[in-house]
Amino acid sequence: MPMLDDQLDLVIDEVAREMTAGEPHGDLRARVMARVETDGWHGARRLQPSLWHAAFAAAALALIAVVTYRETQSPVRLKPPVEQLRATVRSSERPDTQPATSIPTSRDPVAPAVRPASTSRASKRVAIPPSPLDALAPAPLAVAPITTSDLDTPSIDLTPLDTIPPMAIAPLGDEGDRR
Amino acid sequence: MDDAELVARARTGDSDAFGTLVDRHRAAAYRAALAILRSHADAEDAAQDAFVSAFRHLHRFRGDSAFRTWLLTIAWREAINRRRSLGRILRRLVDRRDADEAEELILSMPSTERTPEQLAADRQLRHSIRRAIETLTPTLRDTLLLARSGDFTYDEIGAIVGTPAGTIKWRVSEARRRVRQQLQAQGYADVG
Repeated sequence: MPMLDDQLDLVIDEVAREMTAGEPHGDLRARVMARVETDGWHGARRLQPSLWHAAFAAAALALIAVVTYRETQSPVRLKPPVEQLRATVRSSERPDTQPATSIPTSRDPVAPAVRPASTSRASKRVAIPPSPLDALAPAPLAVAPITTSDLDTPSIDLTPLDTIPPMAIAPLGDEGDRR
Repeated sequence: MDDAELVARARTGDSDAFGTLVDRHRAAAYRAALAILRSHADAEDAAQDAFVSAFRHLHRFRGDSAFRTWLLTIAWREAINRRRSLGRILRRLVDRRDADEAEELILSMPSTERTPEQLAADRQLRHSIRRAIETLTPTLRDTLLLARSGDFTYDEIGAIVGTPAGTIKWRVSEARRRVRQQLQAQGYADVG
Protein backbone atom coordinates (compact mmCIF):
# COMPACT_ATOMS: atom_id res chain seq x y z
CA MET A 1 0.00 0.00 0.00
CA PRO A 2 1.53 3.35 -1.05
CA MET A 3 2.52 5.78 1.72
CA LEU A 4 1.48 9.42 1.97
CA ASP A 5 4.07 12.03 1.16
CA ASP A 6 4.21 13.28 4.75
CA GLN A 7 4.72 9.79 6.07
CA LEU A 8 7.42 9.17 3.55
CA ASP A 9 9.13 12.48 4.35
CA LEU A 10 9.37 11.39 7.96
CA VAL A 11 11.14 8.23 6.95
CA ILE A 12 13.41 10.15 4.57
CA ASP A 13 14.38 12.53 7.36
CA GLU A 14 15.00 9.63 9.68
CA VAL A 15 17.27 7.88 7.20
CA ALA A 16 19.12 11.15 6.50
CA ARG A 17 19.68 11.59 10.24
CA GLU A 18 21.03 8.06 10.48
CA MET A 19 23.44 8.80 7.67
CA THR A 20 24.98 11.65 9.65
CA ALA A 21 24.73 10.04 13.08
CA GLY A 22 27.84 9.42 15.08
CA GLU A 23 30.34 11.01 17.36
CA PRO A 24 34.01 11.71 16.79
CA HIS A 25 36.50 9.79 18.86
CA GLY A 26 37.15 11.12 22.31
CA ASP A 27 40.80 11.85 21.53
CA LEU A 28 39.97 14.42 18.87
CA ARG A 29 40.90 17.26 21.22
CA ALA A 30 44.19 15.59 22.12
CA ARG A 31 45.08 15.09 18.46
CA VAL A 32 44.19 18.67 17.56
CA MET A 33 46.17 20.07 20.47
CA ALA A 34 49.16 17.88 19.60
CA ARG A 35 49.23 19.28 16.08
CA VAL A 36 48.73 22.80 17.35
CA GLU A 37 51.65 22.41 19.76
CA THR A 38 53.79 21.02 16.95
CA ASP A 39 53.11 24.13 14.91
CA GLY A 40 53.93 26.33 17.84
CA TRP A 41 51.31 28.02 19.92
CA HIS A 42 52.14 31.41 18.56
CA GLY A 43 51.23 30.24 15.09
CA ALA A 44 47.84 31.81 15.67
CA ARG A 45 49.48 35.19 15.59
CA ARG A 46 51.80 34.52 12.70
CA LEU A 47 52.58 37.32 10.35
CA GLN A 48 50.57 37.23 7.21
CA PRO A 49 52.39 36.08 4.05
CA SER A 50 52.33 39.57 2.57
CA LEU A 51 54.18 40.90 5.60
CA TRP A 52 56.77 38.18 5.23
CA HIS A 53 57.27 39.09 1.61
CA ALA A 54 57.69 42.75 2.51
CA ALA A 55 60.21 41.87 5.21
CA PHE A 56 62.23 39.73 2.80
CA ALA A 57 62.18 42.48 0.18
CA ALA A 58 63.36 45.08 2.71
CA ALA A 59 66.16 42.80 3.90
CA ALA A 60 67.27 42.14 0.32
CA LEU A 61 67.30 45.87 -0.47
CA ALA A 62 69.33 46.62 2.64
CA LEU A 63 71.85 43.94 1.71
CA ILE A 64 72.19 45.28 -1.83
CA ALA A 65 72.65 48.80 -0.49
CA VAL A 66 75.42 47.73 1.89
CA VAL A 67 77.25 45.77 -0.79
CA THR A 68 76.97 48.64 -3.27
CA TYR A 69 78.23 51.14 -0.71
CA ARG A 70 81.26 49.05 0.16
CA GLU A 71 81.96 48.46 -3.52
CA THR A 72 82.01 52.17 -4.34
CA GLN A 73 83.79 53.38 -1.21
CA SER A 74 86.67 50.91 -0.94
CA PRO A 75 87.06 48.83 -4.05
CA VAL A 76 90.68 47.93 -3.21
CA ARG A 77 89.68 46.37 0.09
CA LEU A 78 87.49 43.87 -1.65
CA LYS A 79 90.36 42.29 -3.56
CA PRO A 80 93.67 43.12 -1.90
CA PRO A 81 95.36 39.74 -2.28
CA VAL A 82 94.98 39.74 -6.05
CA GLU A 83 96.30 43.27 -6.44
CA GLN A 84 99.17 42.63 -4.06
CA LEU A 85 100.11 39.50 -5.93
CA ARG A 86 100.17 41.39 -9.19
CA ALA A 87 102.36 44.10 -7.69
CA THR A 88 104.76 41.52 -6.27
CA VAL A 89 105.09 39.72 -9.59
CA ARG A 90 105.61 42.97 -11.51
CA SER A 91 108.31 44.21 -9.16
CA SER A 92 110.14 40.88 -9.17
CA GLU A 93 110.08 40.28 -12.89
CA ARG A 94 111.12 43.77 -13.99
CA PRO A 95 114.93 43.50 -13.52
CA ASP A 96 115.24 39.79 -14.33
CA THR A 97 113.00 39.28 -17.28
CA GLN A 98 114.56 41.98 -19.41
CA PRO A 99 115.89 40.13 -22.43
CA ALA A 100 119.59 40.46 -23.08
CA THR A 101 119.03 41.39 -26.66
CA SER A 102 115.93 43.41 -26.36
CA ILE A 103 114.46 44.86 -29.49
CA PRO A 104 113.48 48.46 -29.09
CA THR A 105 109.79 49.01 -29.72
CA SER A 106 107.61 51.99 -29.96
CA ARG A 107 106.19 51.19 -26.50
CA ASP A 108 109.44 51.69 -24.70
CA PRO A 109 109.26 55.44 -24.53
CA VAL A 110 105.82 55.11 -22.97
CA ALA A 111 106.71 52.45 -20.49
CA PRO A 112 108.62 54.65 -18.05
CA ALA A 113 105.58 56.89 -17.87
CA VAL A 114 103.30 53.99 -17.04
CA ARG A 115 105.48 52.32 -14.47
CA PRO A 116 105.51 55.18 -12.01
CA ALA A 117 101.73 55.13 -12.12
CA SER A 118 101.61 51.51 -11.09
CA THR A 119 104.21 52.18 -8.48
CA SER A 120 102.11 54.93 -7.03
CA ARG A 121 99.15 52.58 -6.85
CA ALA A 122 101.29 50.06 -5.09
CA SER A 123 102.35 52.69 -2.61
CA LYS A 124 98.73 53.35 -1.80
CA ARG A 125 98.27 49.69 -1.00
CA VAL A 126 100.94 49.84 1.63
CA ALA A 127 98.40 51.42 3.95
CA ILE A 128 96.16 48.36 3.71
CA PRO A 129 96.52 46.05 6.69
CA PRO A 130 97.95 42.67 5.74
CA SER A 131 95.40 40.06 4.99
CA PRO A 132 95.71 36.45 6.13
CA LEU A 133 95.28 35.53 2.50
CA ASP A 134 98.68 37.07 1.76
CA ALA A 135 100.29 33.95 3.13
CA LEU A 136 98.79 32.09 0.22
CA ALA A 137 100.62 34.26 -2.31
CA PRO A 138 103.28 32.31 -4.28
CA ALA A 139 106.94 33.22 -3.94
CA PRO A 140 108.38 35.41 -6.70
CA LEU A 141 109.51 33.39 -9.69
CA ALA A 142 113.22 33.35 -10.52
CA VAL A 143 113.37 33.21 -14.28
CA ALA A 144 116.68 33.02 -16.10
CA PRO A 145 117.20 35.62 -18.86
CA ILE A 146 116.63 34.43 -22.37
CA THR A 147 119.80 34.38 -24.46
CA THR A 148 119.98 34.05 -28.24
CA SER A 149 122.97 33.04 -30.38
CA ASP A 150 123.71 34.23 -33.92
CA LEU A 151 122.41 32.01 -36.69
CA ASP A 152 125.08 30.20 -38.73
CA THR A 153 123.73 30.35 -42.28
CA PRO A 154 125.75 29.65 -45.47
CA SER A 155 126.19 32.56 -47.87
CA ILE A 156 124.41 32.41 -51.21
CA ASP A 157 126.51 32.87 -54.36
CA LEU A 158 124.81 34.96 -56.98
CA THR A 159 125.86 35.17 -60.63
CA PRO A 160 125.94 38.75 -61.99
CA LEU A 161 123.19 39.64 -64.43
CA ASP A 162 123.90 40.45 -68.09
CA THR A 163 124.17 44.17 -68.74
CA ILE A 164 121.51 45.70 -70.97
CA PRO A 165 122.80 47.84 -73.84
CA PRO A 166 121.51 51.43 -73.84
CA MET A 167 118.60 52.28 -76.17
CA ALA A 168 118.45 55.43 -78.31
CA ILE A 169 115.03 57.08 -78.17
CA ALA A 170 114.16 59.98 -80.45
CA PRO A 171 112.39 62.92 -78.76
CA LEU A 172 108.70 63.53 -79.69
CA GLY A 173 107.74 66.49 -81.90
CA ASP A 174 105.32 69.37 -81.09
CA GLU A 175 102.42 67.52 -82.74
CA GLY A 176 102.82 64.55 -80.49
CA ASP A 177 102.91 66.80 -77.41
CA ARG A 178 99.49 68.25 -78.18
CA ARG A 179 97.91 64.78 -78.20
CA MET B 1 32.37 31.36 29.34
CA ASP B 2 31.12 32.04 25.81
CA ASP B 3 32.95 31.40 22.55
CA ALA B 4 34.03 35.01 22.07
CA GLU B 5 35.84 34.99 25.41
CA LEU B 6 37.47 31.65 24.67
CA VAL B 7 38.64 32.92 21.29
CA ALA B 8 40.11 36.03 22.91
CA ARG B 9 41.95 33.89 25.42
CA ALA B 10 43.15 31.47 22.75
CA ARG B 11 44.63 34.38 20.85
CA THR B 12 46.74 35.30 23.84
CA GLY B 13 48.16 31.79 24.04
CA ASP B 14 45.68 30.06 26.34
CA SER B 15 45.75 26.50 25.03
CA ASP B 16 43.03 25.35 27.43
CA ALA B 17 40.69 27.94 25.96
CA PHE B 18 41.21 26.58 22.46
CA GLY B 19 40.84 23.04 23.78
CA THR B 20 37.48 24.00 25.27
CA LEU B 21 36.40 25.32 21.87
CA VAL B 22 37.39 22.00 20.33
CA ASP B 23 35.38 20.06 22.88
CA ARG B 24 32.40 22.33 22.47
CA HIS B 25 32.15 22.09 18.67
CA ARG B 26 33.76 18.78 17.82
CA ALA B 27 30.47 16.97 17.25
CA ALA B 28 29.05 19.69 14.99
CA ALA B 29 32.26 19.90 12.94
CA TYR B 30 32.35 16.12 12.66
CA ARG B 31 28.73 15.84 11.49
CA ALA B 32 29.13 18.66 9.00
CA ALA B 33 32.04 16.76 7.51
CA LEU B 34 30.16 13.47 7.69
CA ALA B 35 27.27 14.93 5.72
CA ILE B 36 29.70 15.63 2.88
CA LEU B 37 32.00 12.64 3.10
CA ARG B 38 29.72 9.93 4.58
CA SER B 39 32.74 8.14 5.92
CA HIS B 40 33.46 8.25 9.63
CA ALA B 41 37.22 8.03 9.20
CA ASP B 42 37.30 10.82 6.62
CA ALA B 43 34.97 12.96 8.72
CA GLU B 44 37.27 12.56 11.72
CA ASP B 45 40.27 13.65 9.69
CA ALA B 46 38.39 16.56 8.15
CA ALA B 47 37.18 17.77 11.54
CA GLN B 48 40.68 17.55 12.94
CA ASP B 49 42.12 19.49 9.99
CA ALA B 50 39.35 22.06 10.37
CA PHE B 51 40.26 22.74 13.99
CA VAL B 52 43.96 23.01 13.19
CA SER B 53 43.19 25.34 10.30
CA ALA B 54 40.93 27.42 12.54
CA PHE B 55 43.74 27.71 15.06
CA ARG B 56 46.22 28.81 12.39
CA HIS B 57 43.85 31.47 11.14
CA LEU B 58 42.48 32.56 14.46
CA HIS B 59 43.96 36.03 13.89
CA ARG B 60 41.68 36.41 10.86
CA PHE B 61 38.48 35.74 12.79
CA ARG B 62 36.97 39.18 13.23
CA GLY B 63 33.83 38.13 15.06
CA ASP B 64 31.44 39.16 12.29
CA SER B 65 29.75 35.79 12.71
CA ALA B 66 29.66 33.31 15.55
CA PHE B 67 32.82 31.27 16.06
CA ARG B 68 30.78 28.10 15.56
CA THR B 69 29.57 29.27 12.13
CA TRP B 70 33.11 30.30 11.16
CA LEU B 71 34.47 26.94 12.28
CA LEU B 72 31.75 24.95 10.52
CA THR B 73 32.45 26.87 7.31
CA ILE B 74 36.07 25.75 7.55
CA ALA B 75 34.98 22.16 8.25
CA TRP B 76 32.60 22.31 5.30
CA ARG B 77 35.30 23.48 2.90
CA GLU B 78 37.75 20.95 4.26
CA ALA B 79 35.24 18.17 3.62
CA ILE B 80 34.46 19.45 0.12
CA ASN B 81 38.16 19.48 -0.73
CA ARG B 82 38.55 15.96 0.59
CA ARG B 83 35.63 14.71 -1.45
CA ARG B 84 37.35 15.97 -4.58
CA SER B 85 40.51 14.03 -3.92
CA LEU B 86 41.00 10.81 -5.81
CA GLY B 87 42.32 8.96 -2.79
CA ARG B 88 39.14 9.58 -0.91
CA ILE B 89 37.04 8.22 -3.79
CA LEU B 90 39.06 5.02 -3.74
CA ARG B 91 38.73 4.65 0.03
CA ARG B 92 35.02 5.22 -0.21
CA LEU B 93 34.63 2.03 -2.22
CA VAL B 94 35.88 0.13 0.81
CA ASP B 95 33.90 2.16 3.34
CA ARG B 96 30.72 1.66 1.35
CA ARG B 97 30.92 -2.06 1.91
CA ASP B 98 31.45 -1.51 5.65
CA ALA B 99 28.45 0.84 5.82
CA ASP B 100 26.24 -1.65 4.04
CA GLU B 101 27.27 -4.38 6.46
CA ALA B 102 26.50 -2.11 9.43
CA GLU B 103 23.10 -1.27 7.97
CA GLU B 104 22.35 -4.93 7.45
CA LEU B 105 23.23 -5.65 11.07
CA ILE B 106 21.01 -2.88 12.46
CA LEU B 107 18.04 -3.72 10.31
CA SER B 108 18.28 -7.45 11.01
CA MET B 109 17.99 -7.00 14.75
CA PRO B 110 14.86 -8.81 16.02
CA SER B 111 11.90 -6.84 17.35
CA THR B 112 9.04 -8.19 19.42
CA GLU B 113 6.58 -5.53 18.26
CA ARG B 114 6.67 -6.09 14.52
CA THR B 115 6.09 -9.06 12.34
CA PRO B 116 8.91 -10.42 10.23
CA GLU B 117 7.07 -9.23 7.12
CA GLN B 118 6.83 -5.68 8.46
CA LEU B 119 10.47 -5.68 9.43
CA ALA B 120 11.49 -6.87 5.99
CA ALA B 121 9.38 -4.20 4.29
CA ASP B 122 10.75 -1.47 6.53
CA ARG B 123 14.29 -2.64 5.93
CA GLN B 124 13.77 -2.63 2.19
CA LEU B 125 12.21 0.86 2.28
CA ARG B 126 15.11 2.36 4.24
CA HIS B 127 17.59 0.72 1.96
CA SER B 128 15.83 2.24 -1.05
CA ILE B 129 15.72 5.70 0.56
CA ARG B 130 19.41 5.55 1.32
CA ARG B 131 20.14 4.56 -2.26
CA ALA B 132 17.90 7.38 -3.54
CA ILE B 133 19.68 9.94 -1.34
CA GLU B 134 23.02 8.68 -2.61
CA THR B 135 21.97 9.36 -6.19
CA LEU B 136 20.96 12.98 -5.53
CA THR B 137 23.15 15.77 -6.84
CA PRO B 138 25.85 16.75 -4.32
CA THR B 139 24.20 20.13 -3.70
CA LEU B 140 20.82 18.63 -2.79
CA ARG B 141 22.25 15.65 -0.92
CA ASP B 142 24.64 17.75 1.20
CA THR B 143 21.90 20.19 2.12
CA LEU B 144 19.42 17.45 3.02
CA LEU B 145 21.92 15.61 5.20
CA LEU B 146 23.07 18.80 6.91
CA ALA B 147 19.51 19.91 7.57
CA ARG B 148 18.43 16.52 8.90
CA SER B 149 21.49 15.90 11.04
CA GLY B 150 19.74 17.85 13.78
CA ASP B 151 22.74 20.05 14.50
CA PHE B 152 22.15 23.00 12.19
CA THR B 153 19.39 25.49 11.52
CA TYR B 154 18.55 26.66 8.02
CA ASP B 155 20.16 30.02 8.74
CA GLU B 156 23.29 28.33 9.95
CA ILE B 157 23.50 26.07 6.92
CA GLY B 158 22.98 29.11 4.72
CA ALA B 159 25.88 30.89 6.42
CA ILE B 160 28.12 27.83 6.13
CA VAL B 161 27.37 27.20 2.47
CA GLY B 162 27.10 30.87 1.56
CA THR B 163 23.51 30.63 0.33
CA PRO B 164 20.30 32.32 1.55
CA ALA B 165 18.27 30.32 4.05
CA GLY B 166 15.31 30.34 1.65
CA THR B 167 17.40 28.53 -0.94
CA ILE B 168 18.41 25.98 1.68
CA LYS B 169 14.76 25.29 2.46
CA TRP B 170 13.99 24.85 -1.22
CA ARG B 171 16.90 22.44 -1.64
CA VAL B 172 15.71 20.29 1.24
CA SER B 173 12.21 20.23 -0.20
CA GLU B 174 13.48 19.44 -3.67
CA ALA B 175 15.74 16.68 -2.34
CA ARG B 176 12.79 15.03 -0.62
CA ARG B 177 10.65 15.33 -3.73
CA ARG B 178 13.28 13.63 -5.87
CA VAL B 179 13.70 10.83 -3.36
CA ARG B 180 9.93 10.30 -3.33
CA GLN B 181 9.98 10.28 -7.11
CA GLN B 182 12.46 7.44 -7.11
CA LEU B 183 10.48 5.57 -4.50
CA GLN B 184 7.31 6.02 -6.52
CA ALA B 185 8.93 4.19 -9.37
CA GLN B 186 9.43 1.31 -6.94
CA GLY B 187 5.80 1.43 -5.75
CA TYR B 188 6.37 3.07 -2.37
CA ALA B 189 4.82 6.51 -2.70
CA ASP B 190 2.19 8.75 -4.19
CA VAL B 191 4.23 11.71 -5.37
CA GLY B 192 2.21 14.91 -5.28
